[in-house]
Amino acid sequence: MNTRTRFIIGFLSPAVLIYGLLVGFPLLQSFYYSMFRWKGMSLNMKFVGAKNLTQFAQDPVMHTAGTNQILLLVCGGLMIVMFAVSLAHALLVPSKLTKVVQAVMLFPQVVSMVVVGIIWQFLWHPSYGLLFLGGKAVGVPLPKDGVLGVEKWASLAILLAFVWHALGFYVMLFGAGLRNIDGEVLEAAEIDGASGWRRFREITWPLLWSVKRVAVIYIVSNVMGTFALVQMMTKAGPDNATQVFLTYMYQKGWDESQMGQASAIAVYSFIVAMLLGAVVWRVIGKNPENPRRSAAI
Amino acid sequence: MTKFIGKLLLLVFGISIVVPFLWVLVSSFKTGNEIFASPWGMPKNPQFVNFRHAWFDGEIGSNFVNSIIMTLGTLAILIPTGAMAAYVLVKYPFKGSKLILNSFMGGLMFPNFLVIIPLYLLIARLGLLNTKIGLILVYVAYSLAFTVFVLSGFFEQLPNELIEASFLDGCSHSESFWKVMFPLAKPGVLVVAIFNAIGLWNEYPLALVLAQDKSIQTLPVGIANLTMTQQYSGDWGALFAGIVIVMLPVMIVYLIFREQIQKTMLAGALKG
Repeated sequence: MNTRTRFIIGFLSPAVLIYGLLVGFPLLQSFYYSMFRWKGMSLNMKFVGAKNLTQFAQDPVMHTAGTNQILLLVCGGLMIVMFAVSLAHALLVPSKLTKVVQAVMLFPQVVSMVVVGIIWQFLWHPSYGLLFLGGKAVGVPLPKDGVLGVEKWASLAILLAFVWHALGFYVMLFGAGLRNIDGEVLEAAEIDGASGWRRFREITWPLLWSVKRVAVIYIVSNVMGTFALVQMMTKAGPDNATQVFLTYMYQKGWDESQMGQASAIAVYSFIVAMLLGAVVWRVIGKNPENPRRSAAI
Repeated sequence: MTKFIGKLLLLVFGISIVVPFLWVLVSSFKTGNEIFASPWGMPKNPQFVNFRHAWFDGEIGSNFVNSIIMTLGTLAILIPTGAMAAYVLVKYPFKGSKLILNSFMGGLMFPNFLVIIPLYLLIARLGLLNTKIGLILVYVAYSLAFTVFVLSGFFEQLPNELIEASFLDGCSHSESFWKVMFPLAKPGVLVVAIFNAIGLWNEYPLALVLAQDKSIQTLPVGIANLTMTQQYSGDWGALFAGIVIVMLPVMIVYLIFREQIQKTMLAGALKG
């Protein structure tokens, strides 16, 4: 073995070993474990094949979790993209206000998800919560025992907290996308009479394709990774109404000691995440064939 | 008109972010009664004692120390390991180096909590459950993807001539890395370290499962427990103070390194 090879192996192996052992290996094991029934830490595992996976087809809680996950993805995703694109446009005009907003907009992203969850739990507190009292004051018909204990309201509260947490990053992302668009293209469009909404729809929006694609992948990953927020705000209640995959997995694995079933939830959501990512990538992330030509219309 | 709407939108956005944080900060100086009686008001006498209660009675103090150990401990292993791997993968391409780089990237997107069950069993079998080194190793593993990804970008930009020149000066492969290339990548390494530090400081799910023991709990786990217990014991002021202790350090670090952090976040997103 020459010195170059020895050097490569020496430098690479610590990272590859740690990564392979603690990331790659457990990922493969997830699939294997999902085919057994076993409780807690015992090694007494019984092979049940795909039963863990198929039994979720009849599990109403799993349906709720899936619905909530889709709700977060579609409603949350739409809200995030809509707000982020508008805010990114507004931030292009320099002023004192934009400076302040740019400084604080990532605060919800850099504090712990646990803190976000606690803050939002407090904001809805029926006796001192800022949002709850404020909402009451302007006449929103909020349930009087607080929002987080009532099914529909609790889901809405989690959706809002999710968007609040994530938005700043996407404003930054779309801002970078907007700045990357060639000013000449926009000017040319202006001269040709395309301005305002039309210019946005026909030129800016298609040209943001690469940023949109990244945004969608991140949103899918954010949504599938939702755990601490729900855990802190509602503990997946009331009555499993705000359950998501990871909270359900945690509940199955650690509260009910059903490790096999919990692994099956993990496999299930892994597959869903991959499928969603692939589908949305295909639908949204299209590169307009020739951006120059569409700009000249 | 559009300008006006834009301004209004920004104003609402800014307020929606600043007000909740300010509210938590102000509440942390109030007595429990004040929090309930005048949720919107300012504290009459700032209750610094809340912070002492949170720090000592609520175990936030020891959680804080644990969080510092976990964060710095992880960085101490992560940065050299990640930098060495990133460097070799871009500057010494070999058959399969692309594949290795790509499998690091693959770990970038999936939520790591998905593999918690096999990971938990593995850590338990290694006898590392509820140990600092156990959580640190897991943190290193799950931070490697991002670290290798960003650092490989930095090393790629450094010219190969520098390596060749260092060989002429008599450096070995590893000497040319540690003496020439690594120091040149320092700005990048610093940003990656800060970025990782924020994420590690905030991490909750893995710490919840792998470090449940009171003596090694980190801040997010501690504050989550405090929230659940404090609601019964009722020291609301201390609870708000605890939240401030968790969030203030990252907010300050973020404000100091804002531009570099934003650039790194975008680099990670836009290159992918």
